[in-house]
Amino acid sequence: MNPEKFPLLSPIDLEGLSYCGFITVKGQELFFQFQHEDSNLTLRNVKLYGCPNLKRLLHGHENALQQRLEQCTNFSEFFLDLKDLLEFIMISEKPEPMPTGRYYLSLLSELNSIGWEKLEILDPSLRNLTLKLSDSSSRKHSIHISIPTSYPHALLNARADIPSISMTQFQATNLKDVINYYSKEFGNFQEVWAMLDDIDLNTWVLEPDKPKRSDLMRRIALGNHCSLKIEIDVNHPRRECQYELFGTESLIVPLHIKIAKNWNNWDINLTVRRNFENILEITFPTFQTSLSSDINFDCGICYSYHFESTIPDQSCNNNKCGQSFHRVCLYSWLQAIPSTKKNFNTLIGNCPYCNDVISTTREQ
Amino acid sequence: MSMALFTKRLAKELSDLKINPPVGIEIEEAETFKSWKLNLDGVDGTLYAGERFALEFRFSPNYPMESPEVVFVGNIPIHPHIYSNGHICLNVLYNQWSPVLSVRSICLSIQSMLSSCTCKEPPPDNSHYIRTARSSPKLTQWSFHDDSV
Repeated sequence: MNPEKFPLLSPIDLEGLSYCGFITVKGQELFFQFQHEDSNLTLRNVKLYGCPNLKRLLHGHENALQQRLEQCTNFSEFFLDLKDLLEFIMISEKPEPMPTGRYYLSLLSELNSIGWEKLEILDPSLRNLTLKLSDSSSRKHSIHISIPTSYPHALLNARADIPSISMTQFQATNLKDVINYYSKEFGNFQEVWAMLDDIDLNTWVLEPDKPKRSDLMRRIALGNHCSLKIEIDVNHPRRECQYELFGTESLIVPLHIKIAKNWNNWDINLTVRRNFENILEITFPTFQTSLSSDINFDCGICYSYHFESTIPDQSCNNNKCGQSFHRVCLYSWLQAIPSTKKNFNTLIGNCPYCNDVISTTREQ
Repeated sequence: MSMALFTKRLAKELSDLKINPPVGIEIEEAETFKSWKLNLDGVDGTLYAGERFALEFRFSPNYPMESPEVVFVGNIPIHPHIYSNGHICLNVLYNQWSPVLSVRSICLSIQSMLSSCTCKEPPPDNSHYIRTARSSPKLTQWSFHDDSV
């Protein structure tokens, strides 16, 4: 250690493993302590302690710091690098204007007026908050609000998870308006959510993985590698909705015939789930009943369900087999087999499970 | 793409082997997704009862589109389809491989191949093979003719 270079730094143990002192960057003196974890003096395993100001400056630059620690061979080199890094951070830092006193006063009075029990999260900077609201069917909703520094002169930005793109974001002058606006919006979607909750509760939903309040689509397991995808109409939640059937042709065709026969019996007094059960003349398996009868939806090649945001949508048409695969997995397997026939971008080969003919096309 | 596929699938196979291990098969070492070592016990009531063998699986990033390289290491069983350098003559390891097969099913195939053996003797062309074979059994042109053992 060169004392002339670093006059404000001194060793604090006999072995010279730890140092403490001040680093001077742009006229600011920052306290820090540096400790080797093992005695072989490499910089791979060191601990750095610092004053709050140093911590704040280095926050978000942990990777850069780690990289420098790994590259430097000795402490002096690292010390100079750290100084460079801190100088760079200080220059690039744009200090954000602090909110005025009126900001905090209005925030406080607003929270008093709406009631503190509605406040779920308030971040330490007092700039973002989350309100929780229950709708008439006691579903819990969160409203995320970010407050500009110039508040109350600027508008609040609010956002909530509702199934309408144009309505999710809202700007208001105060929290009360936000609550009134979203209470009304949540009221508009009661029927939609009632339909979706009925599906989520009584069927095995394959997709989306964790449905959000804004998701109107559900893909429901039917068993034997077949599934039904439906999308609730946000304006007419009880009406006939769009659907699509996936799975082995031999099992899907009879279902299509039933739909053609029973589609006119749609009863808007029943839930969407009940209507589909009546039309398809089945009851949807739930997750619990399916666990015992081990319905397997995983891809037969990669053994997983989700793969790069795709799900197994190709299935073997032999209804004794019916194994499903991801398009990518099946395509790359068939491609590797010399006996596979190729017709434009369709591959025709054999199912890896039952050896029946199976074909697939490359992802569009 | 295939990278994610192969590690994901091996992770699944590994947890399945750990949670639900087949009789007489035990994971010795599976630290990486490059190669695993498994112990295989000779089944009671067969010629290999009481013996323990070690299998080494080597995976390429194309797994499961491509078969793993499987050889015996250490104590090599004397069997008409197992060469003394550890190479195994078994069609599912080469041209009959399919992604349906797994480490578990390969182990079970080898276990049953050992169990159905009636006479402990090396392959007839053993001395010639071990002199000419390359390190990977997948580079050998295998011909499969004997289904009895």
